[in-house]
Amino acid sequence: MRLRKRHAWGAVLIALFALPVWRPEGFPSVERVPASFFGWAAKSPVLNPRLWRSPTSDDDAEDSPRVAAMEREIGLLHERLAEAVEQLRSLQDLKGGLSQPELDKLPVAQAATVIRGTDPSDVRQSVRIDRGTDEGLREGLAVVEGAVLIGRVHAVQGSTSLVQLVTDSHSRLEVMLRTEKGVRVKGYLFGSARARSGQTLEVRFTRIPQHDDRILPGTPVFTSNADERVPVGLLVGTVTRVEDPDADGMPVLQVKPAVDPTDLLEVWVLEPR
Amino acid sequence: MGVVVLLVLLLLASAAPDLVPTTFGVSSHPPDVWVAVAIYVALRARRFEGIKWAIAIGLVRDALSLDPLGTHAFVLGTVAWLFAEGSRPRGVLTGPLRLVLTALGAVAASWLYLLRILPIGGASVSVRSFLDAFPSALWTTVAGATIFPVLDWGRLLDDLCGRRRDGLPA
Repeated sequence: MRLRKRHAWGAVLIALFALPVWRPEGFPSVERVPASFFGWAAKSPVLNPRLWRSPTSDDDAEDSPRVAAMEREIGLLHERLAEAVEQLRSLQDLKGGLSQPELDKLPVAQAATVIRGTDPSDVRQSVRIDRGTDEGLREGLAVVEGAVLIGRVHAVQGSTSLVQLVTDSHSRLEVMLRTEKGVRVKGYLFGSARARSGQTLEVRFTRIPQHDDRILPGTPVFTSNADERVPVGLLVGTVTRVEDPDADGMPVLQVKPAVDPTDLLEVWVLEPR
Repeated sequence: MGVVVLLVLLLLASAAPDLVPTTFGVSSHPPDVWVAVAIYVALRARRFEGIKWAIAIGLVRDALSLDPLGTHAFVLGTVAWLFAEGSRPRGVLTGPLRLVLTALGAVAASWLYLLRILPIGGASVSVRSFLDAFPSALWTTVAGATIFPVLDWGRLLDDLCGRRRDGLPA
């Protein structure tokens, strides 16, 4: 069989097929060039109508965002109350003093604007912000809106960065939540986003220590202390459904994200001291 | 000039999901301008000229995305490879036939991408993911119906496609 051009291009396509398997982390030095150009273009208001939207537009005056904000606040207050009760119990046991938050341990917050609200891929979940290595950002830093974790910095270029959202299918995060009896348990958060609709999260490998305890729908989910770059206690979402198909005390939790990432305009990047 | 026009189209492609309205569910399945441009180049280019540009479009998309380099390059390159003119001259395809091929190519690209990410793990691919390709292909075809006549009228990408500005082979 004669080797034709079509076969030659087929061989090129096979090599491209193998490329992500060979280097799943990609080629950051190569990808930086086009990402920097497109990031520069996205930062220009003339070339990016998304930046014409004001954070305080009339759309924010509708009831739905206010209700969502109040629900987040209630979730945060619920956790703070549970923490206070737990602290009181430990004080009674240890007869020690309260540990005050040390101000020099609080992370540094840097404001950023979301210049691209979606990932070019249909299935992946990311946003691009207008901060990069020029502003001292590095991979793994937490990106938040208020006290809600949005995602983590995935790739950093000169003046922009790509933020992997918690709803991304490749996102993994250790989280914590409380059972009905107030016991704090840990689990792992998995993004299970589909094509821009039906974004949802799952918490797996959560073990409930007491057999007569359970996790209720409506329970808020917070970040744990597994990663030093992600502060503890950031709200991630709320449990919507609890499933335990194996009846082994390790339920799978469906979690609704606390913030709709498609509406983000202004976020904060947290850098630990 | 073709490279400049291509860069402008890719800028539009990267911004399209943020620009589409929320009515009629368009924002849930925004038009895939990346695929539309790759298919346009593949259908208009002589021989196999379109494949390298489709691969280049895919590499740019990978650089801007969370996906590793090569993912979309493979997908768009394969779609262009399927639609390439080949060694026998076919001429320039226009009109409804091109739009039908655009829709088919968009569906093929979506499915190929979903199949491509299965081995590298992480994505929760389901039957719904495959069905989501159809509304996306619909809006991609609508976007193509808007963009393609402009590109045809100005012969804006003909130098990339190996054709003279009068549409004849170079």
